[in-house]
Amino acid sequence: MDSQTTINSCKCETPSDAEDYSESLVLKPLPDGHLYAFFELKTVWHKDLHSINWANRFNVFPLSLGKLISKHELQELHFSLTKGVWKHQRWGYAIREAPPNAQLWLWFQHFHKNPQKAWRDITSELSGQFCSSINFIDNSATVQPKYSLRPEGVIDGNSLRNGSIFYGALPHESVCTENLTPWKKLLPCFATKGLATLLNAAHLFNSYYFSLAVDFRPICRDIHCESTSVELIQSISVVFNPPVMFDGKQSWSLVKLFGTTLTSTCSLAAKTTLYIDLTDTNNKNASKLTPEPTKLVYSVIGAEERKYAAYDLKQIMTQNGKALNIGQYFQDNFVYTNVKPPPLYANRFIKGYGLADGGITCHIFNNLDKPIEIVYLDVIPWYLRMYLHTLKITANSKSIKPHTIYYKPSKDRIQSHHLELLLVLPPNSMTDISYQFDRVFLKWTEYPPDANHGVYVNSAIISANLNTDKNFTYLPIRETISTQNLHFVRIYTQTLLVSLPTPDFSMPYNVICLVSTVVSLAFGPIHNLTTRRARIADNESDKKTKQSLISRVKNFFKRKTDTKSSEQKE
Amino acid sequence: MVHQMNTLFRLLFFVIIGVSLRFSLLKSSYQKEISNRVEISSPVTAWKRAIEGVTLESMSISPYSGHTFHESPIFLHFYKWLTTSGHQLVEHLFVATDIFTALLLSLVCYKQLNYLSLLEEQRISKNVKKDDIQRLSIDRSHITEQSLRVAVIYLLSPYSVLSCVGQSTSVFTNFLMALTLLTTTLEMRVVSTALLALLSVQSFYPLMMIVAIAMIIEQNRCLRDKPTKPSEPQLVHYWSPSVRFSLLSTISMFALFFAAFLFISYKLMQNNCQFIESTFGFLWTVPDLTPTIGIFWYFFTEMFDHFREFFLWTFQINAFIYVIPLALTLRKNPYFLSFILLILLSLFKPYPTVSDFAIYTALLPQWSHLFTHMKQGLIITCMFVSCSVLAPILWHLWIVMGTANSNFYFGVTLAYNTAQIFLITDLLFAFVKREFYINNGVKTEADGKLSRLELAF
Repeated sequence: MDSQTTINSCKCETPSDAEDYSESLVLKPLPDGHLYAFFELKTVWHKDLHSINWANRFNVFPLSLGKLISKHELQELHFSLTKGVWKHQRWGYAIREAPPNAQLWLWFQHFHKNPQKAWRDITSELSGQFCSSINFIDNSATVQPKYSLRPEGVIDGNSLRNGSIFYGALPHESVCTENLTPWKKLLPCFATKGLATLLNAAHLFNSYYFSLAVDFRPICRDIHCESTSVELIQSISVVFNPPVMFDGKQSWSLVKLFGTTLTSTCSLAAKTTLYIDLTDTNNKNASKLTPEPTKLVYSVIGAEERKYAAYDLKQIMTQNGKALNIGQYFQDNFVYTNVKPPPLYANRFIKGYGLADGGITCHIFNNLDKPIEIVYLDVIPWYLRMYLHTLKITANSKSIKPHTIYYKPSKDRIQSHHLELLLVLPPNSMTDISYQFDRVFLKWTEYPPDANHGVYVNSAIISANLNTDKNFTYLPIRETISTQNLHFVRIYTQTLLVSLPTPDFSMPYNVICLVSTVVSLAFGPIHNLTTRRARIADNESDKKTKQSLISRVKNFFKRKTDTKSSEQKE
Repeated sequence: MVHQMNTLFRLLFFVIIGVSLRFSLLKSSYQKEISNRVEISSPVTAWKRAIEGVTLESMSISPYSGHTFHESPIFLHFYKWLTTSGHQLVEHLFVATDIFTALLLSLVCYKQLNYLSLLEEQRISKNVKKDDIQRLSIDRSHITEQSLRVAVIYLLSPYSVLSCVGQSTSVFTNFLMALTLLTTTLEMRVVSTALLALLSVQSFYPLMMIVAIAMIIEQNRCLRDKPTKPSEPQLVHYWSPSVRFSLLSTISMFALFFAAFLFISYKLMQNNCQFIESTFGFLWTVPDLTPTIGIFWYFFTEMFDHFREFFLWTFQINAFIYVIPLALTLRKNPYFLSFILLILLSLFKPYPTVSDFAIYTALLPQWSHLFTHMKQGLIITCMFVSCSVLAPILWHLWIVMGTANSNFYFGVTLAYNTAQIFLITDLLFAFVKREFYINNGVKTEADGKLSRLELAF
């Protein structure tokens, strides 16, 4: 409702290319004592995707991204950098799910001429933009998923074309301050005003989970969808260390979490809102919010009512004009309880011992009473030679047949294994997807710097439509929430660390010398045997030399003794 | 007659032992472990990869679009037929093929030794003193015994047994090789060139055998055609026009079959040439550095990138270059040439397995008349035995326990290849010595020992 009015009011003010910028922060005490904070800084530019070009005036929308989008004719862009693994089992679903470490996927507009080259360019440009090494996403780390990744925004009827989606992930990329700073620079108020002032690297990175993301997509401008706008969401998800650690209560405040109070709002932002999710708050353990929220928001999504305390920060700031420290204080100590796992979650791990072969197993849990259709995407690097004939899928130890298997075998040094499965998970089941691989022996120059540490394998992606919204965390105003009873989830499993067999890195000269010697051992004698004739060995002369050698030695000593004796005589 | 029956019964006895040995291991829990051994399953011959190829093919994904399967499309379709016909059949066929290989090798030995003794008889009787003939000539009465030994060695040799149990696809290539040798010895030119062409399409390196095969066919033709004249040894005159024409026809027949098989492969893969890159290209560029018992893997693992191409060329040329000088030296005995080429194949191809070792060690009794002239038999045997014992141990220490490193296993493969080289050179030198005595009469020292020979220009 709120967003609807915003869009309408904007339409009244300026005809076509107005820009909307809004900031929101959702805080949610998690059922296991952690605290989840989600920043969403959203720019909506009421301009058609195709009419964006570098000559436009960029006010709020970041120029550098706008140029990238127009130059490479992008339809959608999704980029995330993450530290840590989101624990679905305990935290439910995140608002913006992201795999550990770096991930980038995008759609090109359907008429793009050379998407392969553009993809390479984009990875290097973004790598410069965010000071990360995603330029290491080369051909061997890129796949073009068939079913797993669908456009998230509006598309023309004919703009979906095979080969215009690209997905790449780097499971060994680490995230730190140098990635956060350029991310902040994309904001219209930078980090000087507004919610971004809370983004203090020292506090953010001292957390269980941190993820920054940039999502660009075209959206409908109004409910009739006759024209489109573009939307850029910059988001940060943080799961803070449990506040319980300090005083046994789950109480928190902005100062405790971010180390600073909120002193300003961004004047370019139309709205700045802070939400506290109170849905799961236990009634027995009463909590007090200070200051009092502006209003309570109830949103009914699906069957469940969700309750949020909302703070209109713009309004509060203009009224008070002083530093704001919002907090939630609980009366009683936090009581750890069994957390009910979400309807769908997964665990993935490595099997086997030794360095020759092994296996990967993924356990997918369906806790619903209904079957769930999922798409499973696994990208296995070429240096784990996967065997498709070993693929086994069992649900509650009964073998099941996937609806569809899409498989692209790997090519050494060129292309990864790409496996996509369309599966139906039976109700209340654990589905086990497992397959075997051989560890490939690489050239000595191909190993990563710390070769014995091992190599990382990307997380698998599981996409599904769930007809429940338990364990979800939402922004109460997010447009993606459908009014139907279906909720799309895309969850990422753990990344894997696999050790590879290594050669001795100090041996190249020795090995070249030794093997060449052995080859010459064959070459020399065969050359001799084939080019020379046999004859009787000249034994006489042989004996002579032998005798003469012995006699010479004898004579040598003899002479010495002789001379000695003669000397003595003298 | 009684003697022959006796031999047959003994053969049957060993066949039964061989079959039961293979089946008992196939059914045992060790089968999986054995089939995963790098000594038995190379990237080209692993059954696991063959199955993967068949799986992809049946999902209508070209197995050659990935880098897992490296055998020819003809074999791929054979495996496809095999696996769809049932699991039992696969095991039975592996065992049956291996047994047939043993029998074929035995026949090859029998036939070739008969020809050889015929061929050498005249030369020996002409040049060698009567007293010494016994020393040099091939004992006709022993040929059956030696052929039996060939079969027994192949039936019971741990290398062939393990290859069969590990379901290495080299069981089939060995069978084809044995069949090629037999049909060649029987002068079935069309069949033998066709079989060799099939082998060459499958794994390329058997291509070099065409020289030996053409020469054997000529030699046998020569032996058969001419009526025996006691004065004249029936050696082939390679310069006579009829022989040259015949040689050319053999080689062109081979080329024709080779092209035909390539074309069939091309058609089998729905007019797609991808398989060339995945089979020949794979063998030529050696991109898979999985350890084998050959000399390529560690060398190209440790190779500096800018030298890689140079050494690839060197090693590939090295594999083929010996054919020409050996063909010239051994022109009087093409059978021996084919045997030496078998050892060279096992030595210098990029992905050798123990089944390559098994096929030529089985044929060793055929050349037992050379053993008296060999010097390093004991050393070579010891090297082979110690390598066979050490290789699995050091592999386990490196890969499973993590207490040793790659150098240990590399050392063993190096020793194994050195032993093979010693075997070749020792056999060749023994051959050269014996030829010398056949041509010049036996020369002995005063103490009755054979006099020492040396090589000179």
